[in-house]
Amino acid sequence: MSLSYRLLDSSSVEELKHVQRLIDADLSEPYSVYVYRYFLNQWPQLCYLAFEENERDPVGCVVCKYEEHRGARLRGYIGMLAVAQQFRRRGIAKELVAIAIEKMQTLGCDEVMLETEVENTTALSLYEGFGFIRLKRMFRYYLNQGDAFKLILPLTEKSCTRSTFLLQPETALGLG
Amino acid sequence: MEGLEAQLRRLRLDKGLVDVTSEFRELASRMVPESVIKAPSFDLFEGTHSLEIDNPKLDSSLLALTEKELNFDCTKVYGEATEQKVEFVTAVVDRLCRTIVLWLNDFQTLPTTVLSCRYVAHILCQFTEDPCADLSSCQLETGDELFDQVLASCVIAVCYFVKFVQTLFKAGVVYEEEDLNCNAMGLNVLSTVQLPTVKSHLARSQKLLEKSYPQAHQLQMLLMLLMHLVEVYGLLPTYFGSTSQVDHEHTLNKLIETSRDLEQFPLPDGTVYQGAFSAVIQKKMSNQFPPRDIILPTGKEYTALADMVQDLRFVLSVDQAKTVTEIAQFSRFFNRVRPLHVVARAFYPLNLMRDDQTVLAQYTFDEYSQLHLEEFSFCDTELYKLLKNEPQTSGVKQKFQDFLQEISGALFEWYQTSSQNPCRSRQGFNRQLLMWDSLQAQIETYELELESQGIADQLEDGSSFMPLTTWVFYMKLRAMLDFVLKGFELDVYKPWEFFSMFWYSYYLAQHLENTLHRVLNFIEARIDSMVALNKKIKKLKAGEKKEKLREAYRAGMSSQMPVLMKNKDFIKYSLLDCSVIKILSLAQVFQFAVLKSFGLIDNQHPGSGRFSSPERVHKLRFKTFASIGVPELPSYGSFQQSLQDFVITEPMFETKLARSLDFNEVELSKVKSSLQSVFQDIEADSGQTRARAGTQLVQKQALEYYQGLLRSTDALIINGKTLRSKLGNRRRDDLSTAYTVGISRTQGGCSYFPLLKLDQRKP
Amino acid sequence: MSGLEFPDYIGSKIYVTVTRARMLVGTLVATDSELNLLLDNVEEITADSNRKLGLISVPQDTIKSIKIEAAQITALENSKQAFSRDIV
Repeated sequence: MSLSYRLLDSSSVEELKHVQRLIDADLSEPYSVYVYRYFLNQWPQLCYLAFEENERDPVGCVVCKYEEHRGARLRGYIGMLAVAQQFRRRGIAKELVAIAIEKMQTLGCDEVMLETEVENTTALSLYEGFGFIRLKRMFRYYLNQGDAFKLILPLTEKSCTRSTFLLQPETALGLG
Repeated sequence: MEGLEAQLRRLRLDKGLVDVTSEFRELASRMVPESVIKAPSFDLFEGTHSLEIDNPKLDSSLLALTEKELNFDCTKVYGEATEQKVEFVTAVVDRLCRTIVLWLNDFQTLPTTVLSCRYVAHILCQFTEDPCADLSSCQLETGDELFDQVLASCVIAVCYFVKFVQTLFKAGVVYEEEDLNCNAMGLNVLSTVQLPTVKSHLARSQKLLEKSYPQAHQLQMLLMLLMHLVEVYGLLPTYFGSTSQVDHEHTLNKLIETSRDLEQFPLPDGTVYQGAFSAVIQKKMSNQFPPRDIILPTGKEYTALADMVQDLRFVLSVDQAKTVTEIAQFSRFFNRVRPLHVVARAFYPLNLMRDDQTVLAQYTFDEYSQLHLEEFSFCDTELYKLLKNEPQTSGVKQKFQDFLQEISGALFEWYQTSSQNPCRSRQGFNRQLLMWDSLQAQIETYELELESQGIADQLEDGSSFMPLTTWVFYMKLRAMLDFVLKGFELDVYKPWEFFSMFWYSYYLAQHLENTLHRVLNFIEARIDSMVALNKKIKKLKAGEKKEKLREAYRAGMSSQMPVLMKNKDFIKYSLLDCSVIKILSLAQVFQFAVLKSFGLIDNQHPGSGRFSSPERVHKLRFKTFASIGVPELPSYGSFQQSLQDFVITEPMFETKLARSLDFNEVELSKVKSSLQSVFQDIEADSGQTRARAGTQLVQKQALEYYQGLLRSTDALIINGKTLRSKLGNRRRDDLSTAYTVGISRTQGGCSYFPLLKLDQRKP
Repeated sequence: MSGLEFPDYIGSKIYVTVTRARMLVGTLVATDSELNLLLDNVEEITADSNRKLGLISVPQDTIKSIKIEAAQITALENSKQAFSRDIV
């Protein structure tokens, strides 16, 4: 029973539906179809699916984006991650995250950011295993009123410098 | 469908429209699957916040309502006999009062609580359409006075309290969704109505009840509660000007009393409400929010209401403060160990730093900032003496005034931070760092300029004192320490980060301690010189010179001396406070090093190698501090080196280990005695010949905080002993297979100092 | 019939009848290839109520019909023709 991973085929409406199905089963936050459109249409290169040999449909997915942050650095963002219930504990989520971060690296991201529930120890240990740290805690962040941690993984030195300082021309030159 | 068609006919939406369904389907089928067609200016990100048709989490039309709820009619009398009517009205008013608590205490939304009451929606809709300040548009019109007068009064009163909370909310100290939800569904919550109008409406209801419904005992109590609840609006500082002072203490005490009296009544059977509370407003009114279930009372609401009022009464007590230090200490402790009720937290800064640019209507912001300086390092300095005699127009004075304004800005942040939720509070300290840092740089330049003009103070060792810079540095160090340690409270650091964070807090505390010592030295020298002046005068022969000196001495003794003495006490207390933080941080460093010596933990991020590096992760964690001028952030190498210095190695592992653990215990016992002195300071304040810690108004809260530190100290001592017995004397390789290192929080301990404890590894 | 494309319709007021006997009236902001519509300033009309909902995603499977004002179509057509004339 081997696993395989590949980029989402954004030309397939079916695959968007699979992503929607996987995420909806998993998350308490309400998402409209335009949440998926937002990510998948703008950053199709950052959405990966996991397949299990015996299953026709994907069993897991990760949905990300990347953007300039405060005009100072490129920040990757992991928006959604889900693995179907019966395929958990097999390292699928970990592999999906690793593939996504690798891609962000090649895209030139300086850091990767995400939010996760304070109570979600599984997600926390997954991300912390990659070197993410909890940069801040946010009070009653989710609809279910739970706090969230904002996690960041620094990929380059730029991630470790306050953006205000990155904006100063002399500093930018220094870095160049 | 007929219903809709009829409606469309009424709205004339049945004509002049062209069906483009199949055309749209055709156009869509020709689109590239992954594309979206949109207006160029529209950002798809906005689309992520849209609601969605037929999505149960996002479509409020899907909310299920019962027949009774759908048919509920605000203009109908419920109940036949008087007794039944009273029962109904009482139940509705009781539930309405409870919804306030459900709204505020459980962080619920208005539509699922207060606005779930059909009468509230009914009356506010009327008011929104026709906002009459005399409440003439707010009518129930059932034809029964119990409803039209009494129930209407109660609904109006509850709305008026909502208006009070809205006003607090608008001041922007607490945050939408996190702390409070003030979504009034676009309804105007009695904006133009004055407090006396509401009170007289309620008074008419009270009279009516007394006269015609003497048996309605519970309803009378509820009216009493609401009468006091609306009076809370009068606490708003903006309101003070427009009315004679209300006796707040009396209002709040009565409110607590009445809440306690109402605790006795059990929750009625749900059927009694007849559908008066429902999700109808979410389903039928304009609504840009996802649907949510309405919240049911649990029976504990009046107790919670009394608690809320107690918190409010407590934060109001800050106006009894006699010095700036007392206000600052109040702010430091009032919301620390136990977070206060959101209404009290929102009210506190609004009351303290008022719209009229005063602090508690007692000091202007500039005066207040100057007193902050004087009650620390500024009193009896050269600049202080100079400014006393300087005309308003002098350059030195003008520049000083400019700085006072800047200081006010930074202090404003500091005070606001004190009443925020714990997460916002940590971010608040983070934001302050840069503020204090740039202020320090500017003030230092100013003071150096003054020194070049000969306006300078020196310490005994000949170094220059710079009282203003010193104060800013002190404030900055405290904010830095709070920012670092608050991370422990919020579980932001993993065990492997404990070394770096506690070593850094130890480093900061050392700087703070040095700063406090410098201030103490200066103050003591000033006191000594004043005493010496007296001796000098005695030796002098009578004459003009002697008289002049005697005059100076008298003036100094009456104005500066008391301040200097007070400051000296406060600095001494602050030194104790600082040494506690310093040694506890050091003890944590020691325990981390012991664990590392046995190979049980490391200060490198265990998984950072693949995409990052331990050094980079470390730098991200210390990003904020890297931009601070003083104290300079030690390099990554220094962090690593200092850990090596603490780690125990062969040879003589056993001896060194014992020495390390012993030293730790001795230091921690010093903390305990420091804490005893702090307790004495705090307790002495209540007798108050003179305030040492300045905590007399927050004595209980301050004691609670320091008792937490004491418990944490004890826990660290015990943890040290446990480590000793579990780990043994020699470094062994099997320990890391037997144990993992986890975080443990001491019951009743200080949240800044969780422990690293050994957990048996699960097989 | 009209030669109009989706980009032409963006910004138009459209009338969408959906499940549960509701009509949504709002400005067309976006659509995807499946005809999931995104409408802004939406007013929801039912047999007994009329309310504002703001920004609404209308999944294609909830849509019964889509209508547009005849006058609006004429206006769109005219401006399109004028535009292509200018280009020629």
